[in-house]
Amino acid sequence: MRLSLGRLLPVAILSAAVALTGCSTTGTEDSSEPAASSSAAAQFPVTIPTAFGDVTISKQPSRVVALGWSDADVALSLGVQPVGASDWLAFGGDGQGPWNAGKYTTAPTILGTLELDMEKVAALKPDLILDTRSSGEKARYDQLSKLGVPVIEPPKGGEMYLTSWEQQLDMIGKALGKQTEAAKLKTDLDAKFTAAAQANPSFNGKTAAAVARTGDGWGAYVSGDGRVDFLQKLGFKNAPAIESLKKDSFYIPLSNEQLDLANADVTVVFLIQAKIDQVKNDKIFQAVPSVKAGHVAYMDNADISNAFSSSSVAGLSYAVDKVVPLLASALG
Amino acid sequence: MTETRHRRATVLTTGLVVIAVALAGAALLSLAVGARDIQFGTVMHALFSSADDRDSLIITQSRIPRTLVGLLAGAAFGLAGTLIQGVTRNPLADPGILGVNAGAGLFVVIAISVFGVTSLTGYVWFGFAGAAVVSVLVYTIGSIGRGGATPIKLALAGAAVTAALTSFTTAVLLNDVDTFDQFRFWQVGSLANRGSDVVVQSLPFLVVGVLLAFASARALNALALGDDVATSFGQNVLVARLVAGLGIVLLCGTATSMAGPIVFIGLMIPHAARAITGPDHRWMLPYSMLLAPLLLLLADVIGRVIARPGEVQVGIVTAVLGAPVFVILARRRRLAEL
Repeated sequence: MRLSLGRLLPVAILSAAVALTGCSTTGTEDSSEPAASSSAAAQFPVTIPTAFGDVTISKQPSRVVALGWSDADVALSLGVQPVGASDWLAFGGDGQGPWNAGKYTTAPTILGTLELDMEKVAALKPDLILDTRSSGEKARYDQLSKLGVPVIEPPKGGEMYLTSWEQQLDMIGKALGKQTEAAKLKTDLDAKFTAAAQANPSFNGKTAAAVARTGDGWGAYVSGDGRVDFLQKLGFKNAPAIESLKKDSFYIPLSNEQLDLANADVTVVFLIQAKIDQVKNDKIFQAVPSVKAGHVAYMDNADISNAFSSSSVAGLSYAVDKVVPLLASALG
Repeated sequence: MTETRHRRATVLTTGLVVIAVALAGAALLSLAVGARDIQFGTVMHALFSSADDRDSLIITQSRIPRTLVGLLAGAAFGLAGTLIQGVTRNPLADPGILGVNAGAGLFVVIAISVFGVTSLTGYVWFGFAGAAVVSVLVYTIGSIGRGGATPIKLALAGAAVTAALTSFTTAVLLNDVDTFDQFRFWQVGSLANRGSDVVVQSLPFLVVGVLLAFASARALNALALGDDVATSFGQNVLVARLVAGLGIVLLCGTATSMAGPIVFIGLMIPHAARAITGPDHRWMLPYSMLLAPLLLLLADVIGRVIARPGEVQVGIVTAVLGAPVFVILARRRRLAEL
């Protein structure tokens, strides 16, 4: 049984391990933002650097097709409703998580994810195609660019779904003429993290181990992964024993015989293709000192895990609201 | 004449005992070696007591079940491979050739995608049902037309059905990222993170499968001479194929559900066995049954220690270890010695 692995592997890697890679980016935000008074239309023409070169958008787009991972999510946060969108996290319906419920007044045409529905895309007559968090493969870009409208592919280094939430917000903000709104969303989310950290001084300097039970077994996240970045922004420190294993990946597979590495002030458990029962009935995991003592937070709520996976500005904001109380109670 | 045959039997029996001892050693190694260093004394203590300290938990919750899964799935893959090569008289047949793996794979995908099954104990039933349904289908297609279910028609029907099922599986996976992700872990083949419940659940099927396999030994020897000769010896060719076929489905379906489709072992081990025993299935079957888990357990132990603190899945290590051996065997002996 042979699958076209080359095609599927990126997504597997993405959703299994590094769904959320907020390689903390700085400097993508221009300090010389246009004045708040400038209207959206006045921001055009705008030039956006991508892995395939600079893309210039001459006027404000009105028919946006959002193909990249969470591109539609971000567009909605900026007040723009795409006419077509990909539903990467398989929410169904209009393809949005609870944090964007009801933001569409006209439901979008749902488009393919890995497989491009070129005919459907063309039929929507887009004047802008967002693909800012995607495989960034040349073949995909070539296909999309045939439509003759601006295509916003991932930035350099953002291939394989590695575009951070800040980069995504910045690019889409520029492309839609919503730079002021984008900057505000970023500031608001950063402020939300800071406020949550200040409201929970007990988080400060405590060690957290972010581990995942996948369909295959256990693993742990290291800094550079969005989950760890998330915890760090709340004041936690990644468990040093896990952090020391960091090599070229944000995800370290762990044998179940090495689960002691999950011991920390608080152990945060993510479920990827696994059920909570598999963790609760895992006697070896339950014997890890911090877990045994109850210092464990299970991210088994589908909305929460989707919020992490979305790695969108609205999704993460939702995650802060939901996860902070769980962490506080786990820390005891 | 009888004396040489007698001596040969003695040699082969001795060989079997030696392999059995090696297998016991491998099982012990599988209990003693892992991603975490645990002293041998502690291992022994954990085996014979009900301590619940961390090291003992690792032994009882992790290493014992995976060793059992390795032994059982390995034995089943070995036997199924020998049976399938005998039934189809095709030295390159593996349990996949009848569509058994493709069927099990598709049903597991459906289980994950449609029914939301995530546990291995759930996969077992689906994998098994898929193997059964598809082999009946392949056998039916292969029986159509003159001459009934000849080896060539079976192999062709199996290949065609496998192609169809595989594309269907791929179609489901392409449109369902979640399912693909889960399936991909199962598909590589692993002994890790299986509980004793998987062993208990699979055992009855494996026992019946083993009995059917050994009951088929004589018939397979007759089939090896060709259908006409076998018939003239009073062998009912159809019944012989059906019995062996049922054995293949039980063994391969169950083992695949337990450990994933580690097809390679079912292809390679019969050749290794044949190199030792010659073409007599009464010897080949027990040799395959012991050699396959020996390879599987050793591969699993290696996989546990080469990527600490993680592990490499046994399906990968088995292929890396087995492929060179297979190439040597294939080069040294004429393959078509069935």
